[in-house]
Amino acid sequence: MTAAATGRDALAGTVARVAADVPGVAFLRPGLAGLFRSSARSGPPGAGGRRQAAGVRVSRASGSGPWEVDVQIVVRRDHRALTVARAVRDAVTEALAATAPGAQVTVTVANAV
Amino acid sequence: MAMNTGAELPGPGTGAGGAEEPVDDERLACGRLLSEVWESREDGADDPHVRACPYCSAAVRQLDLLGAAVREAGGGREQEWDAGALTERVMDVVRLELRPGRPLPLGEREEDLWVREAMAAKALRAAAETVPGVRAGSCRIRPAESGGSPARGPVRVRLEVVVPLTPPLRDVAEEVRRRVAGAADEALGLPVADVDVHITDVTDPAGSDETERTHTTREARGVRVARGVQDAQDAEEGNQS
Repeated sequence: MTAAATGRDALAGTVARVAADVPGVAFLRPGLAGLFRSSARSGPPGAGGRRQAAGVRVSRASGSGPWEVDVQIVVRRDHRALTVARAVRDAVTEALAATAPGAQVTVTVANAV
Repeated sequence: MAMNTGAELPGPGTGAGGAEEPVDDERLACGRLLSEVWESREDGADDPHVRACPYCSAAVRQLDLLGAAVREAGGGREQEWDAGALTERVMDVVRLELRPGRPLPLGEREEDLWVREAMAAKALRAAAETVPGVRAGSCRIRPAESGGSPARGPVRVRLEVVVPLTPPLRDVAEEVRRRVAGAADEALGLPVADVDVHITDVTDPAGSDETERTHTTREARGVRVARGVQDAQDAEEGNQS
């Protein structure tokens, strides 16, 4: 379990690093909503409050299935959202080719600054 | 078994299990989407369900508290500068964070790239306001075709604008539509099927109220000139019910 969680966090870290370096990405979504909701919500806190890198969610439907990577980015206003999103997807897919082949990468542009 | 991901929300992709809802579009216990409840609150809609429902009213209270907290934070000291503009910007960021809207498809149908509605709407409103004298109001972007949730494929934009009272209102609406469609493609990469421009009011250069001259028409291509914001909202509600 711990090893799996560590692997997931490492993967999320790689994704965050690679995505943030793509031209046109201002930063990854800070995840303010998550912070707000976790205090406002009365439900059980997720996984003991474990927090992945902001703006990145990495999950896997099964132990051997492909990784699902969800990246939320904030783009620079002078860049086309689609172009940046594609560049992020390509960069992340390439970075994960060795460690998580076949990862399904979803990119969401959350805002522009 | 998705043991390690059970507490996390699914992404907007079409991954295993099928993402039913956008990541941040929380569904309240009564079945309504949080975004819809907040949206109707901000639009000033008087919804009997929201008034009666404990979940909806709790959600609305949270939004009110947030607004009050922001106002209070800026109101307790001597103001030597315009705090209103700053408050507005802070609220803008916070609101977009809290209520990013539904994910809309970017690029081709088979891609898994998305843009949040609130951000897209902001860009399209700004594009509309590049037409001299035009002010943009509500901008809703919805999938043009019903289907999976969230649906891929082109979207339909419904934008409300206030325009200067110049004789060819239709030309102004057409220009707004052209720029909005242009921005959707060039700034975002969002495939758009239709842009409906609703003129909700006109401004007179002399400042007199001249809304009487406006009229309601609807072209095949979707330009609508309605008289007054309320009329447009009524029409919209009529369409939905």
